[in-house]
Amino acid sequence: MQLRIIIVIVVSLSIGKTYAQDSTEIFSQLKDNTSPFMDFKEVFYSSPSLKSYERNYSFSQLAASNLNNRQDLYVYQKGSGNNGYQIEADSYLKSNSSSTLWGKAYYRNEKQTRVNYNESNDYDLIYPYVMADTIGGDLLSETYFFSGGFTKQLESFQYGLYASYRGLQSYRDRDPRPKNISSDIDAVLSISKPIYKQYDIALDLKFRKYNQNNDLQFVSELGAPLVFHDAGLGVYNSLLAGNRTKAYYNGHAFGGQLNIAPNDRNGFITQIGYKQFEFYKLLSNIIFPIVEVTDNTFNVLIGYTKEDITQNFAIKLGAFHSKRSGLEAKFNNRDASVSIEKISEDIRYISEQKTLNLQAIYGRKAAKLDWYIQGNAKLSQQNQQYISPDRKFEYSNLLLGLNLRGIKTFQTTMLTAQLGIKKLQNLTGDYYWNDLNNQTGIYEMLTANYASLTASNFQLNGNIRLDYQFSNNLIFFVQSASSYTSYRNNYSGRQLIIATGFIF
Amino acid sequence: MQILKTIGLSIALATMLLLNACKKDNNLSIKQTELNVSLKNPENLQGVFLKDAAITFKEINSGSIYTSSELVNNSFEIMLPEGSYDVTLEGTVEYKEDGQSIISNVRGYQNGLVVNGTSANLKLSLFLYDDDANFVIKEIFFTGTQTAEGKNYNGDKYFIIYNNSDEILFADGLIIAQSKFLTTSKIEYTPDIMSSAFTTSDIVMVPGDGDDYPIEPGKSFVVANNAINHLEYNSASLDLTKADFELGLISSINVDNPEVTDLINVTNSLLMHDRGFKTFVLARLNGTTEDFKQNNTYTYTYLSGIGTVMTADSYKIPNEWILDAVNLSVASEFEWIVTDPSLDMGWTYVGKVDKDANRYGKSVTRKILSTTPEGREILKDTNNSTVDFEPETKPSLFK
Repeated sequence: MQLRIIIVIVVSLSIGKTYAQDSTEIFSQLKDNTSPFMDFKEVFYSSPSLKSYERNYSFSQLAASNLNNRQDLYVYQKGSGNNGYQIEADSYLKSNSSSTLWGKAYYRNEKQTRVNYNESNDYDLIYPYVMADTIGGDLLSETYFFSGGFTKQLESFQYGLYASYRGLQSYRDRDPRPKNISSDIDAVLSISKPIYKQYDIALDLKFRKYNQNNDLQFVSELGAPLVFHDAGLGVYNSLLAGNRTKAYYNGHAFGGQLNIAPNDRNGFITQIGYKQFEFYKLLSNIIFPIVEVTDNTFNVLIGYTKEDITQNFAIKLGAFHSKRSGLEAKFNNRDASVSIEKISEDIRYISEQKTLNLQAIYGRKAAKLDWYIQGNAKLSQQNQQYISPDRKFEYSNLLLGLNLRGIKTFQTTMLTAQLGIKKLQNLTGDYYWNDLNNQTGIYEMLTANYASLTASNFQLNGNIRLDYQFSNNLIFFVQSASSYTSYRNNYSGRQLIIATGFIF
Repeated sequence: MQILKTIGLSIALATMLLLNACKKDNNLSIKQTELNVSLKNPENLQGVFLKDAAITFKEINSGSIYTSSELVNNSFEIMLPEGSYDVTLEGTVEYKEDGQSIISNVRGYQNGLVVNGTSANLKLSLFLYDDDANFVIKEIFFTGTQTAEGKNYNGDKYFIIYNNSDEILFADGLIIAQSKFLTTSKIEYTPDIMSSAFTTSDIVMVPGDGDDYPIEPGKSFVVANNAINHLEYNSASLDLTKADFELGLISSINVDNPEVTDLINVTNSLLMHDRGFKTFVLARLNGTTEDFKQNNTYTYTYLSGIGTVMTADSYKIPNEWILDAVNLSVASEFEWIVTDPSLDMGWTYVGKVDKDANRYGKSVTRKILSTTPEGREILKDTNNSTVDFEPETKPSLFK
């Protein structure tokens, strides 16, 4: 059923493109659309009203991939890895000179392994306010994603609209048995206008609606472990711990971004954006939210891009800052006239993240070989604090990376090979949860998470891809990407992705 | 000009968004309340002087504990984070009786004190408590066991009643009663008689004429659910054929051992709550069982979950008749104690959550306070089961 939906969408999106193309242009267009330079500058034209400048050529792809990821060091709530498959369709169509249409759909079926202290969906979105127990285990999930957007030029303005829907269902076939369903809707409205020479200015307004039903069940007659609701750094409200196994998350976000970018893909880029995401968490039989969360995010990006028929160059510096605070309620259940009442609230948890990311890419295109070299340096900081009991967790890391890619075209095939290295160096780290007994599971969880996030490592990654031209407008490809991450004390991480598909 | 307008409008919108981001104060904070606790001395005493006292506040959301011993003019001033608190006080008073100065221990107890706002007040009534020795409940094995097939097995539950005094006591006429109310469900019962009596409908009594069952100091007797060798049916259980008494259970689960004396069911059969949500008391009736049933009925009303007024009948045991009380609960469900705090101001447990899978085969056991030179154990009995009992112990009758 899901496959059928995806295929229908892809065919619909691609309908304007089912004409025969000049065979000599096929690989030229393919190289342009799949080059690392295209990936690199995608963010420059992320505004829906600037999307028409992103690519030179239309592009549609139907792909299937298999992922296997295993990590020795990991954040308990996210699990030690994942494996599964994904079927995906992408399309970017320049239907005529004044409008552009793009879309994406995928279905993912995966198993997250060894998820612990988390029985909820979307940890990165709702952290740290998950339902938790000490047992956990592998978690099965299915994700459905659909998105679409278009850009339309009317007189001197370009209007853009983008919308996406993500549905996620996760479950486990043995106790504890979560059955979680979340839905996530995004929408962006955008308008742009030329301002000076080749530059356009665009303003985006962003909206988001999120909710999740988080239900945990036990079928064993022998009883159940303690179920609690994490409030940050392993702290939980004793009054709400026990058998409260139904939670509901309701959130929304709004934001905006101002963009200045060249319409000929040559020049400077500036972006400044802000987003506020708020959500609350309810438990069954309690009418008051147990926590209300506010997350403010700022992002700034400056960049420069230059391209011609023989070479490409781009550089970008991005800064990101987010601050999340949790307003936590206290309750009283000792009053006989009401079952449970809210009596106070305080901001007791704060999480702050900052990143500074410098990236650059240079590429040369020639008949014999196209090649690209890409480097990046990323400084990231994270700081989490909880008050009463007082706990904290902070670290900073520096990531240095270098990638080389070569693309060689033969008569009906194109071979792409990439090799990359990454060095993650922990710079600082500190934690404090002295109120915890070091024999408890929560102490072990916090300590393991800290060790995972502050572990320096070295990663080697590679990617090889073969594209074969079936006909004038159909290309088949196979691709394999893998990485190996090495930590101290013989810890390691491995990831392998095998993908295949068609481009048309 | 048009370009400038466009830029100006864009910057204005971006500024509005940024200002909105900054308007909320999102720094860590805990609101504090200044609490004044004024102490009310025990009633009907002459010349009462509170010599010392220590007060403890346990916040029920966080589990945080705050204490103070700074007693000034029979009151405490303390800054507390906003929250809901269980308050306990232990102290010493001196009072006059027949011209003599008497020193006694006092306690105070307040359940679910809501502390919020900039300031709050609490008037805490103190009461004397007497730890004179008598029969006490030494052990309650109320969870039962599980068979190898994972089925619940209830016939092997038992009580151990201990003579904690230094003289021979007779078990004849001693009663064990299980509370009508649950410690996990606080309900406003009208009239509220908890300060004067214990509400029950399950009462059993040791038979005898008053001198049939002497119990030596430091000795105990066992009351079993079914006094049989349970190992024949469940390898995880125990042999209770040597129990001193057995309960008369409902016919569907009763297995009678004719060689072991049955307790008398004064009211209903006593079926021990296997998740530990009820309270047990040890008492002596003042009169015959018929007198008791005639003179100690208790009709009360309460609001049901859907708001209708419900009426129920039960029995009440006057607090003065009660020798010992043990409140049982589990942390995740606890809402109140169902005795007057002068009988028991705490509670003990097996299992931390409702239906805890780990509760089977565990009991609660009273702690040993000291041992006399003759080797007699004196059990701890401060009328606070939280401190008097070891929770989740291995039942002592298990091999």
